[in-house]
Amino acid sequence: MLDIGAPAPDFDLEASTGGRLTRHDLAGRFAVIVFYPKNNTPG
Amino acid sequence: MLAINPASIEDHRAFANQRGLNFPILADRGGEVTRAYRCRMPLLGMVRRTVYAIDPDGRVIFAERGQADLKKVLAAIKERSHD
Repeated sequence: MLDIGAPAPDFDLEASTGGRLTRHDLAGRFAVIVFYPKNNTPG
Repeated sequence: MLAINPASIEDHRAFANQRGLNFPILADRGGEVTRAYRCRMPLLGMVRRTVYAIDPDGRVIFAERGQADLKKVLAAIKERSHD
């Protein structure tokens, strides 16, 4: 896991909501990022 | 909130529609972002369920494996927003 205080690594990925999302799109606000193994699994 | 997973964008859209999810799910097809966030098991290549909260400066303020308690995530954000 990343340590508390570590910089969140950059990303630039296609989004289900259309277009692409990058880490810089999140700048200036709080964000929650969830990594999970497969769709249709709990959580 | 956003979610990241290696499945295809079509799979993500179907999943979001089926569940009525209104947050973006990002397709990390090659797994590079998952690896950069240290959520990929080294040998198996499987994703470890992990929740992060990131502050407005792009720094990690909450990190937990498994099904994170939403109250703890929100508490971390609330605490940081009072700094």
